Amino acid sequence: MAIRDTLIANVTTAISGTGFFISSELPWTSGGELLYNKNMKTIYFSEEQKSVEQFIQTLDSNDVENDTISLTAYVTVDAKTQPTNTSNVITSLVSAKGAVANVYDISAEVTNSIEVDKITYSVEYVFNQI
Amino acid sequence: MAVINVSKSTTEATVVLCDSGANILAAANTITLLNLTDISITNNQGSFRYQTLDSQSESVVTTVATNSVALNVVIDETQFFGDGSNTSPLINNGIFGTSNNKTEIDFRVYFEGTTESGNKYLAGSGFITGLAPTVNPSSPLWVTSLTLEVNGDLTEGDVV
Repeated sequence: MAIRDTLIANVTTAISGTGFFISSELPWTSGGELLYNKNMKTIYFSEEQKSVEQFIQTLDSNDVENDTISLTAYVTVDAKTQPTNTSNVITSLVSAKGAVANVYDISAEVTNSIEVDKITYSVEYVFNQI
Repeated sequence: MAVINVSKSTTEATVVLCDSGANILAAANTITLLNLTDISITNNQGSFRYQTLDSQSESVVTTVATNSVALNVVIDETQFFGDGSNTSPLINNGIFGTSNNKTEIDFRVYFEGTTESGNKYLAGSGFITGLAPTVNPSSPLWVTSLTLEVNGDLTEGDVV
């Protein structure tokens, strides 16, 4: 998937030397545990999800369609002692949305959740494409 | 009696523009407007009202009509700017050039497409005006209004 590949390539460069890593694997579950929980400080990107809707409807059926593509990046770190550069890495993840070409109306939302002694950051990207 | 349904592929509302005086059924001198989003026809009869002492209400007679066709389209680059290499002035200059040059054209508004015999159209001659191309970041396609100011009558016809 093109957008996912672009984000991975951009983030790989951006986090070089930070002590964080990036995987090209999907965030699947291993032994009942999500990979990003199992491998902390490693960023995983989900698969792209896509919805297609009519953007402009025309009388000659040359309708213009808008594709909305969304995917999420996940990274987990120790909640008791967070790496000091965690916020910089999250900023890099957000900034990566600018690397995707031929899209408009882009957004990235950062959320987090704590489970036991781990905090997982999720960055949800939404891109629109005609 | 039946409604006019344009949702089928063979009955789409269609507007065809043509060089003035040329054969509107021939592709060599015509543009079939692409990406129309809406069509609105105005046949506005003028009126003269007057009052008489023997009536409690005004009387009216009609005068000359004002006719126009208002359209909105998603701009097709070739149709809008012309292909620059055609013997047809309309196709060569495109919609913008024809408007800018104030060149009169012929047109037909097909109510239910151009292929099914017996379906209706309105026809006339006039000038392209009212171009207002617009685009913005959240709607990144150029769209424009387009008005055909009709010179004279609108006439009714049947697709052959």
